[in-house]
Amino acid sequence: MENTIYNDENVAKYFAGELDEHKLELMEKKLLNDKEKEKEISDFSRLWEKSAELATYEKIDADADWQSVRSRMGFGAKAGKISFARYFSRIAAILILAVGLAYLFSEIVDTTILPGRATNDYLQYSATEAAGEFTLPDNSKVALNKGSSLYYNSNYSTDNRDVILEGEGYFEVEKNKTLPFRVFVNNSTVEVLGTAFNIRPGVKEVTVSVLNGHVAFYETSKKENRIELLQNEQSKFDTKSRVFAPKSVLNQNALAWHTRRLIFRRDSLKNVFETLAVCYGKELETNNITSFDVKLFTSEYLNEPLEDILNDINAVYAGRYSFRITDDKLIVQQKN
Amino acid sequence: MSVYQNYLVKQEQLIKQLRDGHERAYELMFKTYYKELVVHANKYLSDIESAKEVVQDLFVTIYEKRFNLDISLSLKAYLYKSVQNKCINAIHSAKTREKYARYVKDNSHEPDAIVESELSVSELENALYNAIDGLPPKCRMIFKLNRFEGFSNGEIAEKLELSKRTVETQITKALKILRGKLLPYLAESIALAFIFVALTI
Repeated sequence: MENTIYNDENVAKYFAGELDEHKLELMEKKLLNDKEKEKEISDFSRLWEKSAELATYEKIDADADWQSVRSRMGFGAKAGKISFARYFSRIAAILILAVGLAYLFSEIVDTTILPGRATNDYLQYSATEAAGEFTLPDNSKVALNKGSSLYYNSNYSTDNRDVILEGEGYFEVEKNKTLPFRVFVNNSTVEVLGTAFNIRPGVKEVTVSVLNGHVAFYETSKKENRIELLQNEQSKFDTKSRVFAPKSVLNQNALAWHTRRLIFRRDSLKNVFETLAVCYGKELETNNITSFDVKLFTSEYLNEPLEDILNDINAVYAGRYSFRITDDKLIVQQKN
Repeated sequence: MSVYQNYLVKQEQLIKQLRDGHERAYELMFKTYYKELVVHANKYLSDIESAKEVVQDLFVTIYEKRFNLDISLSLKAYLYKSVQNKCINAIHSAKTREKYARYVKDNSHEPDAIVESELSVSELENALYNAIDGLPPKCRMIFKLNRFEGFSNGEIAEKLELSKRTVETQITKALKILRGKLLPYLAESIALAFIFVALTI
C-alpha cells in the first residue's frame, strides 16, 4: 500500500487537502522513507504556494498598458504606425520651423545665407490670412502657419534644396541623398540628415524638435557650433548669444497648430493658454492676471474650436476666467 | 566573451538607446520588466491599480529625464529601487500613511538589502510565471483555474466536463513540468533550507 500511495492522483489530493486520514498517514510514511520523493514534494509545495501568489500577474495586461505609456511618452499613434513607416520610406523629413517675426526677410538674406543670390532671385509662398499648404518643385510639402512666408530660389531642386523661412512652417521633405534639404532660420541652419523634425518659435530664438530620425542644427556661419538631434529631442538656439540649450524632450503640442491635436498632461494653466495661443495663431494677453490658478490641467482635444476648449477650461476652474477672442488675439481675464 | 560580459554589453547598448529615446528600447524595457515591477509595487501598496500607476509613471519619468539617466549597476536593480522609492513616497503622501509608517520605518535603514532579496524572489516568480504560460494548453488551463482562480479540483472537473481524476492527473503533471524547468531556482532554496536545518540542530 505504501508503494502505491505515491501516484499523480494522490499527489494532487495531497495538495488539495483531500487525502483521507489513512492515506495521509501512508503518504507521510512514504516520504519519510524515500528521500527522492520527499524532495520532489518539497519542490512541488514551493511551486504550489508561489504560483498562487502569481494571480496578480494575470491581472496585468502589459501590451495594453504599453500603448498608454508609449502615447504618454509622445510616440505616434499605433493605428497609423504602418502607414507612417511607409510614408517615411518616401519622405526624408517632417519639420516645423519658426523664428521670431521681428526678423525681416531682407535682414535674413543680407546676413549670412546663400551668398551671391539677390533677393529677387527668390520665389515666395506666403500665408498671410490663414494657414496654408504648398508643394515645392521636388514635391516636398510645406504647411505655413498664419502670417508666415517661405522663400526658395529658382535653382531649387537642380543645384540646391535651400529654403528660407519666416514664421512657422511644417515640412514633409522628399528623400534626396545628393541634395541636402536645408532650412535657414535667422543665423542658424537646420539640415536634414534623413529624418523628421519640428521647430517652434521663440521671440529671439529658434527651437528645433525632431519628430523622427536625425537632424543637424548649426550656426550658419560657424558649422562646428552644432547640435545633432534624434527622435523626440529638441533644442533651442539663442540667436543673440549664439548658444544652444541642452537637449530636452520635444513638446508634444509642437505640431498642434497643424494637426489640431492638443494633449495636456498636468500642465500649468499659463502653459495651456500659451499653447492654445500658438496653436490657434493668436497673441496671448493676460494683463490683469497676477497669478494663475495652481491647479494643473489635463485633457485632450482633436479639432475642437477654441471657444469649446476655453469653456472646458472654465468648467474645470469654476468659471474664474473670462475670454475674448479677436482676429489676432486671445484675451484672458480673471474674474473678481 | 562570457555570458555575463555579453549581458553587460547588451545592457549598455540598451541604456544608450534609452538615452537616445528609441521607442523599441523603451518597449523592450517595458515588456521585460512591467509585470514584475507591478507585482513588486503591489506588495507595498496592496492595490493593483495604484501599483500599475506607479510603475507606468516611472517609465514615463525615465523617458522624460533620459538625458540624465544614470544607471551604474544593473537596469533591473535600478528599476526595482526606483519603484520602491516611488511606493514609499506614495505611501507617505497617502491617507494610509499611519498603516504603513511602521513598515517603512522598520525597513528604511537598509533599502538596498530589500531590493537585493526582492530581486531573487522576482527571478523565481518570473521564471515560474513564464513556465506556467508554457504548459500544454489543457494542463495550463486546469492549473491556472486552481492556482489563480482558486477553484477546487472538483469544481474544475465540473466546469470543464472532465473526471476529477483527469484534473488531478493534470495538476500533478503541471507540477512535474514546472519543477523540471525550475530546478536551478529551487536548488538555491534547498541549500538555504539545509543551512537552516544545520543551525537548528
